[in-house]
Amino acid sequence: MADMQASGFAVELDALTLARAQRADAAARECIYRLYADAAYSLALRLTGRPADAEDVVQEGFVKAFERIGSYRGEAPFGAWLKRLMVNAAIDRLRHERRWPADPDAVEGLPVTTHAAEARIDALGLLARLSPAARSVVWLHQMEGYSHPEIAAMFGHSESWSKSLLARSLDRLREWLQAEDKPR
Amino acid sequence: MSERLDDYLRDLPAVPAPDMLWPRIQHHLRERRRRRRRLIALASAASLALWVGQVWRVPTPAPAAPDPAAGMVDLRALDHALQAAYDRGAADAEIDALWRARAAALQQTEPEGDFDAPILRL
Repeated sequence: MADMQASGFAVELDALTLARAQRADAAARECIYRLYADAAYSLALRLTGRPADAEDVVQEGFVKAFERIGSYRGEAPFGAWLKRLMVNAAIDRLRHERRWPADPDAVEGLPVTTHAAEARIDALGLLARLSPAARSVVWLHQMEGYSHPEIAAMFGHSESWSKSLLARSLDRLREWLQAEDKPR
Repeated sequence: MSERLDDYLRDLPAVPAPDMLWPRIQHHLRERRRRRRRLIALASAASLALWVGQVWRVPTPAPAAPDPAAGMVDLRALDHALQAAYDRGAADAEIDALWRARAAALQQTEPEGDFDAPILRL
Protein backbone atom coordinates (compact mmCIF):
# COMPACT_ATOMS: atom_id res chain seq x y z
CA MET A 1 0.00 0.00 0.00
CA ALA A 2 0.98 3.62 0.21
CA ASP A 3 4.05 4.87 2.00
CA MET A 4 2.55 6.22 5.22
CA GLN A 5 5.77 8.02 6.26
CA ALA A 6 5.40 10.61 3.51
CA SER A 7 2.63 13.13 3.35
CA GLY A 8 0.79 15.18 0.81
CA PHE A 9 1.73 14.59 -2.80
CA ALA A 10 4.91 12.82 -1.65
CA VAL A 11 2.88 9.77 -0.65
CA GLU A 12 3.84 6.90 -2.95
CA LEU A 13 1.20 4.96 -4.80
CA ASP A 14 1.66 1.20 -4.98
CA ALA A 15 1.76 -0.47 -8.39
CA LEU A 16 -1.24 -2.72 -7.73
CA THR A 17 -3.60 0.16 -6.86
CA LEU A 18 -2.34 2.07 -9.87
CA ALA A 19 -2.91 -0.90 -12.20
CA ARG A 20 -6.43 -1.41 -10.83
CA ALA A 21 -7.24 2.28 -11.20
CA GLN A 22 -6.00 2.13 -14.80
CA ARG A 23 -8.64 -0.56 -15.37
CA ALA A 24 -11.25 1.87 -13.94
CA ASP A 25 -11.63 -0.06 -10.67
CA ALA A 26 -13.85 2.13 -8.46
CA ALA A 27 -12.28 1.02 -5.16
CA ALA A 28 -8.77 1.78 -6.44
CA ARG A 29 -9.87 5.20 -7.61
CA GLU A 30 -11.33 5.96 -4.21
CA CYS A 31 -8.10 4.78 -2.57
CA ILE A 32 -6.11 7.23 -4.73
CA TYR A 33 -8.53 10.01 -3.92
CA ARG A 34 -8.23 9.38 -0.16
CA LEU A 35 -4.43 9.37 -0.40
CA TYR A 36 -4.13 12.74 -2.13
CA ALA A 37 -7.40 14.60 -1.46
CA ASP A 38 -6.17 16.74 1.44
CA ALA A 39 -2.96 17.70 -0.33
CA ALA A 40 -4.93 18.55 -3.48
CA TYR A 41 -7.47 20.60 -1.60
CA SER A 42 -4.82 22.50 0.39
CA LEU A 43 -2.93 23.31 -2.79
CA ALA A 44 -6.09 24.38 -4.60
CA LEU A 45 -7.17 26.57 -1.69
CA ARG A 46 -3.77 28.27 -1.54
CA LEU A 47 -3.86 28.98 -5.26
CA THR A 48 -7.46 30.08 -5.61
CA GLY A 49 -8.04 31.52 -2.15
CA ARG A 50 -11.70 30.46 -2.05
CA PRO A 51 -13.09 27.15 -0.72
CA ALA A 52 -15.76 26.86 -3.44
CA ASP A 53 -13.17 27.38 -6.17
CA ALA A 54 -10.80 24.95 -4.48
CA GLU A 55 -13.50 22.25 -4.51
CA ASP A 56 -14.11 22.80 -8.21
CA VAL A 57 -10.39 22.62 -8.90
CA VAL A 58 -9.99 19.36 -6.96
CA GLN A 59 -12.99 17.88 -8.78
CA GLU A 60 -11.64 18.89 -12.18
CA GLY A 61 -8.14 17.70 -11.29
CA PHE A 62 -9.25 14.23 -10.16
CA VAL A 63 -11.67 13.80 -13.06
CA LYS A 64 -8.85 14.58 -15.49
CA ALA A 65 -6.48 12.33 -13.57
CA PHE A 66 -8.86 9.34 -13.74
CA GLU A 67 -9.60 9.96 -17.40
CA ARG A 68 -5.89 10.11 -18.25
CA ILE A 69 -4.56 7.59 -15.77
CA GLY A 70 -4.38 4.98 -18.54
CA SER A 71 -1.66 7.00 -20.23
CA TYR A 72 0.37 7.50 -17.02
CA ARG A 73 3.60 5.54 -17.53
CA GLY A 74 5.42 6.40 -14.32
CA GLU A 75 7.96 8.83 -15.79
CA ALA A 76 7.44 11.01 -12.68
CA PRO A 77 6.12 9.93 -9.26
CA PHE A 78 2.34 9.67 -9.32
CA GLY A 79 1.96 12.44 -6.72
CA ALA A 80 4.00 14.85 -8.83
CA TRP A 81 1.94 13.97 -11.90
CA LEU A 82 -1.30 14.56 -10.00
CA LYS A 83 -0.02 17.80 -8.49
CA ARG A 84 0.75 19.12 -11.96
CA LEU A 85 -2.84 18.39 -13.02
CA MET A 86 -4.14 20.22 -9.93
CA VAL A 87 -1.96 23.28 -10.55
CA ASN A 88 -3.07 23.42 -14.18
CA ALA A 89 -6.72 23.09 -13.17
CA ALA A 90 -6.31 25.93 -10.64
CA ILE A 91 -4.60 28.24 -13.13
CA ASP A 92 -7.24 27.45 -15.77
CA ARG A 93 -9.97 28.31 -13.30
CA LEU A 94 -8.35 31.57 -12.24
CA ARG A 95 -7.88 32.55 -15.86
CA HIS A 96 -11.45 31.67 -16.87
CA GLU A 97 -12.84 33.59 -13.93
CA ARG A 98 -10.61 36.53 -14.80
CA ARG A 99 -9.69 36.73 -11.18
CA TRP A 100 -6.75 38.90 -12.03
CA PRO A 101 -7.67 42.41 -10.98
CA ALA A 102 -7.58 45.34 -13.36
CA ASP A 103 -4.07 45.92 -12.09
CA PRO A 104 -2.27 42.56 -12.49
CA ASP A 105 0.68 43.95 -10.56
CA ALA A 106 -1.34 44.46 -7.38
CA VAL A 107 0.24 42.71 -4.44
CA GLU A 108 -2.42 43.15 -1.80
CA GLY A 109 -5.92 41.71 -2.09
CA LEU A 110 -9.24 43.07 -0.89
CA PRO A 111 -9.73 43.38 2.87
CA VAL A 112 -11.37 40.37 4.50
CA THR A 113 -14.73 41.17 6.05
CA THR A 114 -16.94 38.08 6.30
CA HIS A 115 -16.91 35.37 8.93
CA ALA A 116 -16.38 32.60 6.33
CA ALA A 117 -13.42 34.46 4.97
CA GLU A 118 -11.92 34.66 8.46
CA ALA A 119 -11.97 30.87 8.68
CA ARG A 120 -10.16 30.74 5.36
CA ILE A 121 -7.36 32.88 6.78
CA ASP A 122 -6.34 30.09 9.14
CA ALA A 123 -5.52 27.88 6.19
CA LEU A 124 -3.92 30.56 4.10
CA GLY A 125 -2.18 32.52 6.81
CA LEU A 126 -0.64 35.72 5.57
CA LEU A 127 -1.18 34.57 1.98
CA ALA A 128 -4.84 35.54 2.41
CA ARG A 129 -3.83 39.19 2.40
CA LEU A 130 -2.28 38.93 -1.06
CA SER A 131 -4.09 39.42 -4.35
CA PRO A 132 -4.95 36.15 -6.20
CA ALA A 133 -2.13 36.64 -8.72
CA ALA A 134 0.46 37.51 -6.06
CA ARG A 135 -0.57 34.57 -3.89
CA SER A 136 -0.36 32.11 -6.80
CA VAL A 137 3.04 33.36 -7.92
CA VAL A 138 4.45 33.17 -4.38
CA TRP A 139 3.13 29.67 -3.78
CA LEU A 140 4.12 28.25 -7.15
CA HIS A 141 7.65 29.68 -6.99
CA GLN A 142 8.50 29.26 -3.31
CA MET A 143 6.69 26.04 -2.47
CA GLU A 144 6.18 24.16 -5.73
CA GLY A 145 9.47 25.05 -7.40
CA TYR A 146 8.07 26.54 -10.59
CA SER A 147 10.47 28.76 -12.54
CA HIS A 148 9.67 32.29 -13.70
CA PRO A 149 9.41 31.23 -17.37
CA GLU A 150 6.93 28.51 -16.38
CA ILE A 151 4.86 30.89 -14.25
CA ALA A 152 4.93 33.56 -16.95
CA ALA A 153 3.68 31.03 -19.53
CA MET A 154 0.90 29.82 -17.23
CA PHE A 155 -0.42 33.30 -16.57
CA GLY A 156 0.18 34.71 -20.02
CA HIS A 157 2.51 37.42 -18.75
CA SER A 158 6.20 38.19 -19.12
CA GLU A 159 8.97 36.75 -16.98
CA SER A 160 9.71 40.22 -15.63
CA TRP A 161 6.08 40.45 -14.46
CA SER A 162 6.52 37.19 -12.54
CA LYS A 163 9.87 38.30 -11.02
CA SER A 164 8.63 41.73 -10.06
CA LEU A 165 5.37 40.48 -8.52
CA LEU A 166 7.22 37.79 -6.58
CA ALA A 167 9.83 40.21 -5.20
CA ARG A 168 7.24 42.74 -4.07
CA SER A 169 4.97 40.04 -2.59
CA LEU A 170 7.83 38.47 -0.63
CA ASP A 171 8.81 41.90 0.73
CA ARG A 172 5.27 42.48 1.87
CA LEU A 173 4.99 39.01 3.45
CA ARG A 174 8.27 39.56 5.34
CA GLU A 175 6.97 42.87 6.66
CA TRP A 176 3.77 41.26 7.87
CA LEU A 177 5.67 38.35 9.39
CA GLN A 178 7.97 40.70 11.27
CA ALA A 179 5.00 42.70 12.48
CA GLU A 180 3.41 39.51 13.80
CA ASP A 181 6.62 38.57 15.65
CA LYS A 182 6.82 41.88 17.52
CA PRO A 183 5.47 41.70 21.09
CA ARG A 184 2.16 43.53 21.44
CA MET B 1 14.32 36.15 6.92
CA SER B 2 13.89 34.38 3.58
CA GLU B 3 14.21 30.99 5.27
CA ARG B 4 11.86 32.10 7.99
CA LEU B 5 9.27 33.00 5.39
CA ASP B 6 9.71 29.69 3.55
CA ASP B 7 9.37 27.82 6.84
CA TYR B 8 6.25 29.80 7.61
CA LEU B 9 4.69 28.89 4.25
CA ARG B 10 5.76 25.24 4.53
CA ASP B 11 4.24 24.97 7.98
CA LEU B 12 0.84 26.26 6.95
CA PRO B 13 -1.63 23.57 8.02
CA ALA B 14 -2.99 21.09 5.48
CA VAL B 15 -6.69 21.60 4.99
CA PRO B 16 -8.90 18.50 4.96
CA ALA B 17 -10.95 18.13 1.81
CA PRO B 18 -14.71 18.41 2.42
CA ASP B 19 -16.47 15.05 2.87
CA MET B 20 -18.93 15.67 0.05
CA LEU B 21 -16.20 16.10 -2.52
CA TRP B 22 -15.65 12.42 -3.36
CA PRO B 23 -19.37 11.69 -4.07
CA ARG B 24 -19.38 14.82 -6.22
CA ILE B 25 -16.36 13.60 -8.21
CA GLN B 26 -17.92 10.14 -8.62
CA HIS B 27 -21.14 11.69 -9.87
CA HIS B 28 -19.22 13.87 -12.30
CA LEU B 29 -17.22 10.90 -13.61
CA ARG B 30 -20.44 8.91 -14.13
CA GLU B 31 -22.06 11.84 -15.95
CA ARG B 32 -19.07 12.27 -18.25
CA ARG B 33 -19.02 8.52 -19.00
CA ARG B 34 -22.78 8.52 -19.69
CA ARG B 35 -22.46 11.56 -21.98
CA ARG B 36 -19.57 9.94 -23.84
CA ARG B 37 -21.53 6.68 -24.32
CA ARG B 38 -24.57 8.64 -25.53
CA LEU B 39 -22.41 10.48 -28.06
CA ILE B 40 -20.84 7.23 -29.26
CA ALA B 41 -24.31 5.62 -29.57
CA LEU B 42 -25.61 8.62 -31.51
CA ALA B 43 -22.62 8.62 -33.82
CA SER B 44 -22.97 4.86 -34.41
CA ALA B 45 -26.70 5.18 -35.12
CA ALA B 46 -26.05 8.00 -37.57
CA SER B 47 -23.35 5.99 -39.37
CA LEU B 48 -25.61 2.93 -39.51
CA ALA B 49 -28.51 4.97 -40.91
CA LEU B 50 -26.20 6.43 -43.54
CA TRP B 51 -24.87 3.00 -44.49
CA VAL B 52 -28.33 1.40 -44.65
CA GLY B 53 -29.58 4.32 -46.73
CA GLN B 54 -26.80 3.80 -49.24
CA VAL B 55 -27.05 0.04 -49.42
CA TRP B 56 -30.84 -0.23 -49.61
CA ARG B 57 -31.55 2.79 -51.71
CA VAL B 58 -34.33 1.80 -54.27
CA PRO B 59 -33.19 2.88 -57.74
CA THR B 60 -35.48 5.58 -59.08
CA PRO B 61 -37.00 4.43 -62.39
CA ALA B 62 -35.79 6.51 -65.30
CA PRO B 63 -38.53 8.25 -67.31
CA ALA B 64 -39.75 5.82 -69.95
CA ALA B 65 -38.56 6.67 -73.43
CA PRO B 66 -41.03 6.12 -76.26
CA ASP B 67 -40.58 2.71 -77.82
CA PRO B 68 -40.29 3.18 -81.60
CA ALA B 69 -40.92 -0.53 -82.25
CA ALA B 70 -44.25 -0.38 -80.38
CA GLY B 71 -45.19 2.68 -82.47
CA MET B 72 -44.50 0.74 -85.67
CA VAL B 73 -46.77 -2.14 -84.55
CA ASP B 74 -49.60 0.38 -83.83
CA LEU B 75 -49.07 1.99 -87.21
CA ARG B 76 -49.28 -1.35 -89.03
CA ALA B 77 -52.44 -2.29 -87.16
CA LEU B 78 -54.01 1.07 -88.08
CA ASP B 79 -53.04 0.54 -91.73
CA HIS B 80 -54.80 -2.89 -91.71
CA ALA B 81 -57.83 -1.32 -90.01
CA LEU B 82 -57.96 1.44 -92.65
CA GLN B 83 -57.63 -1.08 -95.50
CA ALA B 84 -60.43 -3.18 -94.01
CA ALA B 85 -62.62 -0.08 -93.52
CA TYR B 86 -62.22 0.90 -97.20
CA ASP B 87 -62.85 -2.70 -98.28
CA ARG B 88 -66.16 -2.94 -96.51
CA GLY B 89 -67.21 0.63 -97.46
CA ALA B 90 -67.15 2.06 -93.94
CA ALA B 91 -68.64 5.48 -93.12
CA ASP B 92 -66.50 8.61 -93.63
CA ALA B 93 -66.54 9.35 -89.87
CA GLU B 94 -64.99 5.94 -89.08
CA ILE B 95 -62.35 6.36 -91.77
CA ASP B 96 -61.55 9.94 -90.56
CA ALA B 97 -61.12 8.67 -86.98
CA LEU B 98 -58.74 5.95 -88.22
CA TRP B 99 -56.67 8.49 -90.16
CA ARG B 100 -56.46 10.80 -87.05
CA ALA B 101 -55.31 7.83 -84.96
CA ARG B 102 -52.73 6.90 -87.61
CA ALA B 103 -51.42 10.50 -87.69
CA ALA B 104 -51.05 10.48 -83.90
CA ALA B 105 -49.27 7.10 -83.96
CA LEU B 106 -46.97 8.33 -86.68
CA GLN B 107 -46.01 11.36 -84.55
CA GLN B 108 -45.04 9.07 -81.67
CA THR B 109 -42.70 7.04 -83.84
CA GLU B 110 -40.77 10.10 -85.07
CA PRO B 111 -37.66 11.10 -83.07
CA GLU B 112 -37.63 14.51 -81.39
CA GLY B 113 -35.59 17.01 -83.25
CA ASP B 114 -35.48 20.39 -84.79
CA PHE B 115 -38.02 20.08 -87.52
CA ASP B 116 -37.41 23.60 -88.67
CA ALA B 117 -33.77 22.86 -89.42
CA PRO B 118 -33.02 22.77 -93.13
CA ILE B 119 -32.47 19.37 -94.67
CA LEU B 120 -28.89 19.23 -95.76
CA ARG B 121 -28.73 15.66 -96.95
CA LEU B 122 -31.19 13.13 -98.27
